[in-house]
Amino acid sequence: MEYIRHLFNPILLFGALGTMAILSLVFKENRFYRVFEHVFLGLALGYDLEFTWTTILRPLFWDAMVRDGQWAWVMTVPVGLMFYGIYTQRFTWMSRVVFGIFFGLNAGAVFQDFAGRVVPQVTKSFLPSKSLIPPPPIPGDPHALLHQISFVLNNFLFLGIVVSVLVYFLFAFEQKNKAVLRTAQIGRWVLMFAFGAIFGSTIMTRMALLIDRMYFIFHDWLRLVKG
Amino acid sequence: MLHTLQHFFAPMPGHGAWYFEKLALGLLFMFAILGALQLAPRRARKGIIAFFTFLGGAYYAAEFFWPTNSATNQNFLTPYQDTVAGLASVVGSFAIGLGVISLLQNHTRQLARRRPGWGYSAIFLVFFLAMTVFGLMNAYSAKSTVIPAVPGFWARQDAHGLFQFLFVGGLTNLGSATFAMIAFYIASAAYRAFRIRSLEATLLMIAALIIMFGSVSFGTWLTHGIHPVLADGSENPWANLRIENIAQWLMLQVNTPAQRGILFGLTLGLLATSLRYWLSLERGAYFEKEL
Amino acid sequence: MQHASENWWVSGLVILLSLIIVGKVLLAQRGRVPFIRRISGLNAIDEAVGRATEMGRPVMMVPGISGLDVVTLQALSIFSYIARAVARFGNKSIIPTIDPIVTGVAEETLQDAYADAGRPELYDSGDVRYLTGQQFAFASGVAGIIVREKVAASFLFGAFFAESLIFAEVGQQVGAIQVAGTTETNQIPFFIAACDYVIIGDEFYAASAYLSRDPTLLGSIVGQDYCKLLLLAIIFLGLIGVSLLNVPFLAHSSLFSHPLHWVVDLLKVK
Repeated sequence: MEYIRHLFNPILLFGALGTMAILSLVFKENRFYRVFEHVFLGLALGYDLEFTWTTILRPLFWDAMVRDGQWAWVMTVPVGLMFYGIYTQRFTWMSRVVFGIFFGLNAGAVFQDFAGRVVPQVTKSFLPSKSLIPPPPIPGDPHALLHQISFVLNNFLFLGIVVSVLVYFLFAFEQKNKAVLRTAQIGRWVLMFAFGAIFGSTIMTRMALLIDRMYFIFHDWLRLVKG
Repeated sequence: MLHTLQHFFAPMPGHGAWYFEKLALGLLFMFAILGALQLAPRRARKGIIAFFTFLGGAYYAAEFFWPTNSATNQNFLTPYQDTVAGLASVVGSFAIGLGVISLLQNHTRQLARRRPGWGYSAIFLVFFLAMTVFGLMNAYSAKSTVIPAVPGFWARQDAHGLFQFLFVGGLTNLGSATFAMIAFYIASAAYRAFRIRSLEATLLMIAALIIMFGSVSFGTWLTHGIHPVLADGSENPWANLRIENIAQWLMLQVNTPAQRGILFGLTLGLLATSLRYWLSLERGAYFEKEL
Repeated sequence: MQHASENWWVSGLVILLSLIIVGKVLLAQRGRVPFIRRISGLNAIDEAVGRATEMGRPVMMVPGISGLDVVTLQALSIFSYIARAVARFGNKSIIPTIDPIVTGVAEETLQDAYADAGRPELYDSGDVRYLTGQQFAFASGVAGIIVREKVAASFLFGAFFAESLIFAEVGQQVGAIQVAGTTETNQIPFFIAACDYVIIGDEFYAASAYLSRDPTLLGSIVGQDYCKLLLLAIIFLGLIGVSLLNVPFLAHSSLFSHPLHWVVDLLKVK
């Protein structure tokens, strides 16, 4: 009786049915999936509304304006209304004014992003550890020569990969010049190898997610698995 | 002048004299600006949009480039960052209606015309309303009773409990399930990539296998016979061929520089595209339409 | 780096790169239309749209799952070319969106593209569908659209994250021709495994120029190329610098090592 009551615990039951419905899509689309897809979308949209109100509009706009008396926030209302111009013939163009402000806000942040994110990657490409001439050997190292050779080879490889990938991404130069064409081809192969590495490192984390859901069904809900 | 302005815009916590007048004035002022924009000649519209787009970008650009006070690492624009971000998120939030209207339109149309699948639209609407109502109730009065207790059947349910049912039972679990679906799809994608007999697909799968084997115990068992140290206590150069070392080398010496090459291209693309938007140089149907 | 004044050399570099790009755009607008190389995945667009029309099934375009940013806008501008092809063939497009503002811009873009192709009547207000702001709810909704509408061509352009594989594999299940491109490098391998054509890295930003052959956009691409060469040159110079510092004779002579250190550290940010 206790077990039956546990199985019908609303939160667990909702979660378990939903999990099975969603995962069933992997085999074939079916009504069970469709029902829970619409449940999911409904919940998500409702949550979006609630979240937008409680975390953005209420604290930043409503409370600021009404409780704290920052009356100027009222001026954002007409600006927000401009979005709705798209529903009319006459004011459609006005929505583009406010879209434009958002285009601008996004675009203006690019300078800081570039300086803060890209330039350090440029300088990292010529750290002392990337030198093409090996540093003097560490005294007493039995494999000193081997270390120096691998240091140089690794760094030439590193540079070669950066260069070939960048050459692959050159668009303005016709890849008819044999040197450009070959370098770009090598760049593409290297890219595939690098993408494979990303693929391989993601597989295990994705499997962990599935195992977690199986644990939810078989341990938390059905209690068929102990531990 | 600045002082008068500051005084004019100052918060009025107690809703002192002129609070409501100022609210009305603020609305009127903004609507007057909108009216003026609407009255502007048609050929000026592109210019107006370009002006506001430039203005939107100018704040962040100027805030970045304007020299800072070396002690505080701030310039005169830095203190307004929160205000600008707040303004953007408030105005942006008003747009949520665009999405909600588009969705409700679709689903109510399905329902009203009893199109095939209208039942799903009904389910959507029920759960949407439930989440919105109980979500907001949970934020304002979490303890208020929604369903009174019926002895022998169920206990009293308050708004918080129902919100938990929808949020934890529904939303969170459905999200995790969707995420977990990817485990199946990654397997079928890998299987397909294995079957493609091209040099590129082969390279991709070889690298994927090496990395995968390098991170699971079966993989490392394959090369565990290569000892990291030699009999005389010095490091064994052949240990570089242990699968976990090959995998690590692949990540550091192949993946890192390749990603860097991609990053340079991508971020330059971002820079160029941002500049085109900011300076209204962009082309395409949306940007070239007569307004 | 929060402000330009932390390292003026770095900021100078950003300004220089920006000027190169804008300069190339302005030159191209004055009639010096440049050449750009083939981007193979993009030639498949007409084929995919044509096939979808023959099968009597719609074309789906997903502009990624980030809000209104430059990446999403770029995706929408690629879609405006695809939508023109859709309109020419008289087919139907579906654009699911995750952000309300993007929904508005997407509606405008689709209408303008149809009008441009001379078929404004093809536009239907249900074509652009806002689903929700949440990643996996959106993914499950898009998966539902793909299977129920049996989309015959699916274009995935923009910023995608873990859900990329859901779109691509469900598309595979219904046999859609899929063309994808994303700025999120970590998702490209999954698109390669599950889509028919994938554009990689900043081919994404070159796509609208390639499709439209518009001088402004082409000029911008050429500007980007010059910037890449400039970054490469800086890396080469820096590498020569750090390598010379490992030559014992130079490393010990302050006459050489001081200026070398200065040059190598020029672009360093704390």
